[in-house]
Amino acid sequence: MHIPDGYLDLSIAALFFVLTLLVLGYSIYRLRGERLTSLFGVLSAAIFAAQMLNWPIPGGTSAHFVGGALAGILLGPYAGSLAMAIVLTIQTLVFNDGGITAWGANVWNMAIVNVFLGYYIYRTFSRYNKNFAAFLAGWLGITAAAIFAGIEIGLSTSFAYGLSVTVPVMGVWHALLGVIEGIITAGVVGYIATRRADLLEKKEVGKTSFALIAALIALSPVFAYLAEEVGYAEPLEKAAEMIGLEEEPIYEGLFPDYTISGLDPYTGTLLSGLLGVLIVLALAYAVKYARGSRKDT
Amino acid sequence: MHVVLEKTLKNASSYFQNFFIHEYSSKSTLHSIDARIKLLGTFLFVILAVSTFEPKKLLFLLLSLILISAILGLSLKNMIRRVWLFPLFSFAVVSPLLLQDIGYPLLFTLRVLIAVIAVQMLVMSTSFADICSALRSLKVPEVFVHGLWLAYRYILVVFQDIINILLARESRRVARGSHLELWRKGGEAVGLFFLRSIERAERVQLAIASRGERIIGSKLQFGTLEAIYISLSAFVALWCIAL
Amino acid sequence: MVHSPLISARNVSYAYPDGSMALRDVSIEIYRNDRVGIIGPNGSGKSTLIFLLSGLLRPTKGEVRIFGMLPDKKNVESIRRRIGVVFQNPDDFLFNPTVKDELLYVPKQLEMDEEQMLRLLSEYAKKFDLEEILQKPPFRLSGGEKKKVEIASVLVYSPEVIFLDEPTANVDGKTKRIVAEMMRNYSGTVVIASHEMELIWELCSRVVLMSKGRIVEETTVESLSEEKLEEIGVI
Repeated sequence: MHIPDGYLDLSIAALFFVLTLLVLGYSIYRLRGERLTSLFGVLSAAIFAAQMLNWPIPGGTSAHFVGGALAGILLGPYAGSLAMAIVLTIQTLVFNDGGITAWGANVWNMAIVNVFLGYYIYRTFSRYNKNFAAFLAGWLGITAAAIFAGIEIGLSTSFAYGLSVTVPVMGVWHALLGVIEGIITAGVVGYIATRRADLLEKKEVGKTSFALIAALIALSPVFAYLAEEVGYAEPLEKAAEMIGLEEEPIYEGLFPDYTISGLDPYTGTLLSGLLGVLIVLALAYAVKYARGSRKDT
Repeated sequence: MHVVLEKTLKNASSYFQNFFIHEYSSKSTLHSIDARIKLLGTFLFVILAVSTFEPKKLLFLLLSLILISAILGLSLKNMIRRVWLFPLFSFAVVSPLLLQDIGYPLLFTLRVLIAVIAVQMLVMSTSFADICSALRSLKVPEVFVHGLWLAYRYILVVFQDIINILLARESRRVARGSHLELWRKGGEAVGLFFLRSIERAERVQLAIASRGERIIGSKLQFGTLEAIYISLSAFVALWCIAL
Repeated sequence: MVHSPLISARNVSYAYPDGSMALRDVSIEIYRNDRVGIIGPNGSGKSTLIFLLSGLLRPTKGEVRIFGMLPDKKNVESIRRRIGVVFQNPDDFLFNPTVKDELLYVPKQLEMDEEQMLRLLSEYAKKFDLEEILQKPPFRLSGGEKKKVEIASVLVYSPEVIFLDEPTANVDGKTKRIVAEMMRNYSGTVVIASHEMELIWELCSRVVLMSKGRIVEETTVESLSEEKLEEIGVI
């Protein structure tokens, strides 16, 4: 479910960066008194390892357990979202699994929506039946995360398919796979309940902040839609405009209007491109030379 | 359970190779550059790549990054080997649209490819410890950076743990079960694993409290090397915008 | 009289996911009623060899035959039924709610009838002095009790071959004697991997010395020299 770079419009990507940083920042703030650092570091490692398991599904391929709902159930939504965010960050920065501009969105989906919703569902239903509650939390958490991902890429014009395709595809596919997530989550919770039921107790959550975050989650698709309206698909052109290059060449540089007068536009662009590449080449060699004269320790 | 074990172990090899990847091409110039600069540079390149659909800009970007990587010592062969799947998958996803507009699928794939190369320039030349130090120095909260580092360090250890548990479980599996049973029993085994991990975490917490722990990364530095690399990156950006 | 081996490994190698080679080009044969000790320091590949010989893992190179078969999807459960593995850490192995459930875990899967299972239960509970703790959860037991339950849970389904991975590591003297006691009367084939010599002296007739993923020598327990043991780092 990791969204690579290139699928999201920058406006949407930026929006989710902001939202994610808000919620994660708040989670960090909330946990500041508690000596929890090692706990979610090691738990993140455990979640990562658990995600590596290949669970065969009928049909021959395999599915993977994500663990967002579980993180919420075991650690509470704040520490849980941080633990999942750590997993996702390692996946992005070490394995290229998930883009870096998409980090905000990926963390929102799999570390915040998945975790908070999973936690909330578990808490709501666990008084009736822990296993069933865990199943629902795992299943619906994943499905919701997938739907959000579908919304994000569906709204982005960078990705040509629209909401009517992305949301059903992501939603239905993960609703199916999510059954496994649910069953495994239930298995885990069921086992832990037999040995350390204390770990499954209600966590300190703070009604107001939780409600606020829930509202943010619920409204984020709307924000995304608005961001899309306001934003533009090709910000580089906007940037060029802003530095005043396209409309009014303040800088009548080497190639005014980026063509060489006398040549047709295509060749002109080609030459400009080639010149750029040559300069890059030269600068790259300069870097290499500079490294040679530095002593590395 | 043996199916779970076998497939997992097979795929795990390629996973764990990624942990040591920066040790290849360790003589590259890119290795010597301050991690913060590389991180920001990669971010910049990716933003450039995903900001446009114009062929001239994208091609310029692609060419520049490939040249920079090659000149600064990264093995392009290794790079492609690591990441070919992402652009290919992306192409497959949008290929039905080839019929409507031949340009879009190609450009879309090109953007993904450039972004992935930009990230590899960072990943292949920087140890995770250095990335953590860079993040910390860029004001990412200590709690998060510390968590990142711990998680990275413990993945191999806890992975061994979960494999042992699955092996022990498998050794007494004498009857075939349905997929459902597999998932359920697997969940219980994973439950035991998480329980153990929580207990391990509690021990680690005590150990850290008693002797402290800092992320060990290379000293961050800023010199001519970094300055030129910044100029290089800035040039690429400006030229790309201007093109 | 030469029989064909029960279990054979031919030129097997095994690489861990992180790329390090645990076993390099190992060949070994286990015959019926063998009592084999695999000796080597930590990291020499003993556990990995056990996992391969018992059919839990497949070699990355080479071939392992168990009861004459190459383990595959179809025969794997029948192989498991005839082989028992006692893991180094009982906490990896014991997961059932009570000791009784632990003992009956395999019999239940084999769909033995109620009467048969209860008979088996009382026989083994008595034999290994587990009657007091039958209703206790395994994770609440002492280290020695856990080891006892672990071994009993394997012996209970009478496998033809039992592998023990470091049975006396991290275990007190009393438990070591209990382990020896439990295995002494076992009538099948035994393979013990250990870097501690006591149990091997007592139970094994043949020994295989390992170092750095390879077998460096095969000999009898009697002809084992201290120099050799020192050489590979066991003492």
